[in-house]
Amino acid sequence: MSRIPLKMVILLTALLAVVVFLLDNFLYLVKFDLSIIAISLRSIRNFLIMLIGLGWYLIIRKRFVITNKPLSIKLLYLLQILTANLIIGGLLYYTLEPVYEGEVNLTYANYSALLYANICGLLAIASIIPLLFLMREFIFYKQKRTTQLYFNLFIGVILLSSVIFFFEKEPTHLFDFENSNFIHSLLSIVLILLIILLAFRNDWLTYLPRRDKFLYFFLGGIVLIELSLLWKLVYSPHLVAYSKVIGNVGNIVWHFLIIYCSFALLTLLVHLPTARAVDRKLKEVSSLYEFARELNSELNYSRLTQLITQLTARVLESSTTWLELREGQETELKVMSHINLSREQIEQNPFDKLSGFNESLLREKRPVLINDVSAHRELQQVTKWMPELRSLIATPLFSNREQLMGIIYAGKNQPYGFDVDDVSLMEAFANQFAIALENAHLWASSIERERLEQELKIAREVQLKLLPQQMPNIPNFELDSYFLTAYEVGGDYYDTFQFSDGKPGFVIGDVSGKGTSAAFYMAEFKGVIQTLAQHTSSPLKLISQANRIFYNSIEKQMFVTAIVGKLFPEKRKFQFVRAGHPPVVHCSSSSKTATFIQPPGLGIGLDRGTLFDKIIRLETIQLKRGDFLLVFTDGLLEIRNPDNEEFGEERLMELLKNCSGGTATEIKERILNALLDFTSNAQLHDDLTLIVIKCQE
Amino acid sequence: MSNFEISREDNKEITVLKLHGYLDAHTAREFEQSLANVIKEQRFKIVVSLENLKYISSAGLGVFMGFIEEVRKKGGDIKIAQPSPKVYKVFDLLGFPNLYEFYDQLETALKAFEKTQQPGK
Repeated sequence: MSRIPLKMVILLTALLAVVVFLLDNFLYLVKFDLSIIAISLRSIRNFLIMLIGLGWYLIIRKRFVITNKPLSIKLLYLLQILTANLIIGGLLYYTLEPVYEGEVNLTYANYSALLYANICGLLAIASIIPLLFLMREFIFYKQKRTTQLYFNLFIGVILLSSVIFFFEKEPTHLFDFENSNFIHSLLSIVLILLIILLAFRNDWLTYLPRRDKFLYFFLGGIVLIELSLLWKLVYSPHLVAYSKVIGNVGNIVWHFLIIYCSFALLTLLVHLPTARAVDRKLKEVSSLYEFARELNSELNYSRLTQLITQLTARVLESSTTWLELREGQETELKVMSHINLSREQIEQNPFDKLSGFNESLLREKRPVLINDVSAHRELQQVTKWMPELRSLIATPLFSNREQLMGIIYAGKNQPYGFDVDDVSLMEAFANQFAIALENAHLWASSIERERLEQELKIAREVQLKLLPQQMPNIPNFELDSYFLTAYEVGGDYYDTFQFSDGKPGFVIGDVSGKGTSAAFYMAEFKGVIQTLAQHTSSPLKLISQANRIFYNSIEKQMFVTAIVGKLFPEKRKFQFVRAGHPPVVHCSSSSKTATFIQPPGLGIGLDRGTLFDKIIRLETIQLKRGDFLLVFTDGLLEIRNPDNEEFGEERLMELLKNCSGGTATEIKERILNALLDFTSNAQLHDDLTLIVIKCQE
Repeated sequence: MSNFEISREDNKEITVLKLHGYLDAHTAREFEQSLANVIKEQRFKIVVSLENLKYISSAGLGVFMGFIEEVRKKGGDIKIAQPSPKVYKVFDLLGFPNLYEFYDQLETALKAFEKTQQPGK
């Protein structure tokens, strides 16, 4: 059918309507009176009318596309069609004053009747088909399995009855039981049943917003009045006079409309008292949905806090809303986002401490509703702060470790502005809020951590550059070193330099504490030692001055332990001072002994200088060929085995006794292998520095 | 190594802090806090008993240094009692016996306060 051009269909339909009108004129003027010609002409005429209906159906199906339009537009169409019918029909009725003859088969008693019936008939055809399309939309709003079936059955029965009416003479209406035969009655009952079934399909009303419910109830009343007027005023005899089939269909559709409309009004009436609650529930559902979507994707902390206040304000319809967050374990709360708070109000916020009212939230662990702020003893100052604030809901947000993360406040300007539903609603929301906030927080801290790791990596590279890149070549001596930090940066340090007399010197040090601050002091220490060495030839003076400098610059609870050594290459002699550092080990190759040499000394930075200078001693060791010295940081002694035992001095002594022989590097490797054996690990994990000084054979 | 505890006993004007377990970089803060609390109460005669201290790190040693100046200025002192040989060795290596008074017995440490009104070193 779609192959026939629509324009043609329109033209044909219009032409048919004219033909029917001309036929009516002919019949009216000629007055055949029950002759065969009259009957067959009438049959042709009735058939043509049905064709008009078919044509109009095709046009409407093609042109009247409404499926995607909103309900309100559809309702508006319905109202427009009915009103147009009423106005056109009503006006013409009173101007034309049609009169009909006969009981069942009506004929036109005057020409006005002919004219009027024709217009009414066409109007009815023009209205009924789009009306059915509209009704289909309402009924199909929420489809069930049987919806389609019932509606199709309904249309089917209408068509069936139309066919029957086409051939039969009586009665005039399907619902006219008095003159009805069995088939008519059966059809009528089926139709009534179907109409009632379809009338229950008004779920679309349930989901209307509250305001629309009121509006539609009012409009529905108008529709109902219009419908009843339509039949009495416009259609009753006229349609039947025009065509029994159209009369019948019009009759059925009218009944259908009036029953559906009444049901709808009743439903609305029932729903009106709960409209607000339904409205709220619907808003909750849509908010929750929107919320979950937005919250889950929002990792920006400040945007998230805004989102939370906005959503709370929307769902609770609060006039003032603000979110306060707490940093870690702080007892202060800070307004992070707000709606309708002034700057002064934020500054003077009486809810900024975890005491009083807020403390009660911490105990309750759920939203607290204040129906009348001014009547609440604990909230006297709140009334001063914001006089218009009358009712309040405060909702604590707890992390999954039961820590209070923050509180969201929502206020209204009238007392008893919130109800129990609002409380349970906020209770449900609070969890979502907390999870989202925690996620955003974790995200932020993971980014921060990544940045810090990067920084530390750089710090480590810088620190490694502060260490000597290679050990100096010293006649008669051989030096090697090992350096390891457990953290990215550490407080261990060693360096080589020349004293002012040109003799080679070295320093090993350990800044107390670990990590970044220790690393900074280490860098400072290097600078101090390097500078001082240029102006002195005495390790004693060097360390004494270093202590004076450091005492003033280092924090009270921090200190540095160090050994400063000086080598006399020709004499194979070694001098050192010990500032609180682990002892120097002298290993003799000839006697196979290891001696711990621990002259008195004090850590650097512990004393202003006088005591330090008094305690410190310069120690001199005369080395023999093949002897070696080991200096180290306390990490060496503190290395632990799987039984959690420390390596300790005794084990070190045992190890070093038999360590001599070979180069300094070989000795170093021997020591490290022994340490690895001790830990049973593939790697060492603590801060550890050692220097081996071998006196060549 | 986080098993560290501090118990406190106030003996007239002397406060005894007893350290238990491991005093390292992590637990040093706890020790620092209790020392700060004692000083905040204007109590400057303090004995730190190390009878049950198993380990002390450089950060732990630093805590003593953080307060000694203030305490001595106020006419008090921090005295260290009953260190185990191993713990004493750490103090000794660093030269702490030059800065603090060490006692083998808690009683002698307490008595030392009564005997002298010494200003410290």
